[in-house]
Amino acid sequence: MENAVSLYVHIPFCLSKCTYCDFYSVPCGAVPDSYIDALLNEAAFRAEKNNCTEWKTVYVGGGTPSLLTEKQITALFGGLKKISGGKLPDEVTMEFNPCDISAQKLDVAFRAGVTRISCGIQSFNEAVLKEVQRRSSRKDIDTALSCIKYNWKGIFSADMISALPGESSESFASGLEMLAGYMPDHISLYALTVEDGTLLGNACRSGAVPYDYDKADAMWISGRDYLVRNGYVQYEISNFCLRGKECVHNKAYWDQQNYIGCGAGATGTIYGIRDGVTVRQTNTRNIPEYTGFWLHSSILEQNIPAETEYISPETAAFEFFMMGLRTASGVCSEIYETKFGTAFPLTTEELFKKWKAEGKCTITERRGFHYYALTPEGLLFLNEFLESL
Amino acid sequence: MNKELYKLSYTLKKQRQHKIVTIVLFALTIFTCIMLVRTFFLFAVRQRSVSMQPDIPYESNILFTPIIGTPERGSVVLLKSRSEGTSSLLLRAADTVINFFSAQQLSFFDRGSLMGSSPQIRRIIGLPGDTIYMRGYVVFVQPAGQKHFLTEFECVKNAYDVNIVAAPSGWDSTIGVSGSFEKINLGRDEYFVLGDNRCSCVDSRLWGPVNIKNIKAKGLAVSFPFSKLRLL
Repeated sequence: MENAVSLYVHIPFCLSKCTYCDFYSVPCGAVPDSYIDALLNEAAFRAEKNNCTEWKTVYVGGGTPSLLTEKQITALFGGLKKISGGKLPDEVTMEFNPCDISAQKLDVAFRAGVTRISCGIQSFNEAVLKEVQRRSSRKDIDTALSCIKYNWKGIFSADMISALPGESSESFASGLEMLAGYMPDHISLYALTVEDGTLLGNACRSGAVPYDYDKADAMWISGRDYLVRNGYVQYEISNFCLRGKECVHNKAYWDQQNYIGCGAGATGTIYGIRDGVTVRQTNTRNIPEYTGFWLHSSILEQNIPAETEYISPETAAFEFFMMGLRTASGVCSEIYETKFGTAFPLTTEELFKKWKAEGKCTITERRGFHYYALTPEGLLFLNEFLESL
Repeated sequence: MNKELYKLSYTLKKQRQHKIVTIVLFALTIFTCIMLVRTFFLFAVRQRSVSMQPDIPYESNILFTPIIGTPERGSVVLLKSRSEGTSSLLLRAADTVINFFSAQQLSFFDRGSLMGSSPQIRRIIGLPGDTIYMRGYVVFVQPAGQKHFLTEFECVKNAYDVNIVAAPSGWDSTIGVSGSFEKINLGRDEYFVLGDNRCSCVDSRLWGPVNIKNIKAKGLAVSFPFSKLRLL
């Protein structure tokens, strides 16, 4: 029987660290070949362990996956294809830094099986890019966008962040307009989150960099409205796309589908394999330990350098709402009941009704299924909703 | 020699203990008095947002009192964080205690990264019973029992400025925090609050009216910077 599972591959290497970034990465000029070999060994092991016969989607993120050489790109996707019975899924995403984009690299990626690229633009403002220590300059971004426009044959997604330090409403608006001019199929528009432990977090805490949440919220809302006005559908809090261009891989997270995570620091989650208990495994961040294990050890499950977390059904039920309500389609009470074997909570239904009366939620019925979704305005208060659960 | 004396003399030892206890009690009394004043009468808040520009600039200090009375139109108020407004009585009581003993440094509700969750400074534009609507970022108010609509500026005792920035080309006032909305009636205990920086602020246009229970304090004065020193 065929069993397709989504795969996330983490490439934790960057040439430089952006001040706001809290994803795991280490500074490195080039990705070692041994890391790719280790990744493929891990992917093969985890696919077999989870009876995965093919990848449902593949997402290669980082870090900076575009640091991979053309040879490594071919080796990585060729290896993943082999594990997946000789075929790659329709959606294979690879993240690119604008500095690494060239016609040749895009061509190699496409021929290797990449169907979707996600390019981290973040801002068009030169001063902002410098302030947050992005590797790419405004010129790099223009060159990359132009290169994608003329050379990329697959789906193109771009990331933007509202209210980075030094970004004004005007520069943000003009940047978003410029990006929309290239008509990406998909745009992720994130509101900047200042995370503890990041360079930006420390600078904000000490007062060295001012940060204004009000201004940031207002700027993000204007960006959202602009994208919607220009034909993009907001299908998740931070994700917008032209019709039919939703990211299938991300939907696996939001719909609580199984996904395998490979690479140092990567997380994978398999739902309900132990008496209804969900297992979440996060690999070690120690790259030599990771590579050493997957290359040289005889692979025994109990020795895998990873932390295992057992998620109780109650926590999984909370995550069902936390993830599902991020999307415009929301959550379905019948799916909840099938997943968790209990009735849809009455208190939650009451809360939905209350929010519906305030115009922040919709309750719809389609073919006997009941869907509860937050409206675009309601999505702004998702955290408040979750706190009330 | 002195140490020896304290060892030998019971009276001196008692006197020293009495002195220490007096000093500690004095410090505690001072701390309690300051905390009582700061908690129940007067406290300062640092404005870390451009939402109330131009009258209340970024990085200014504002003096607030928790004694609110009946809020007036045009008053500057400090709102409770939205999570604080919906939390249980027990949690709020615990928060008051922790807040008091940590000299206002700790709170369960101070989580700035959630939209609308950190305490915010806004101006009261609509009062209970009003009918209001907005055009071009200016609110038109029909106070309860009156026939005509007036602009918000015509209904207040103390004048204030608002900041309205022209939208970038290709953008209009319906993009972002809206510059217009249709008539709404404010119910009992409902206040409509806005930031003075109308294009760069999240307020009642998004949250809806605020219940009086969610107004934490009333603004008295801008105390810093001195160039902006003024009564509110």
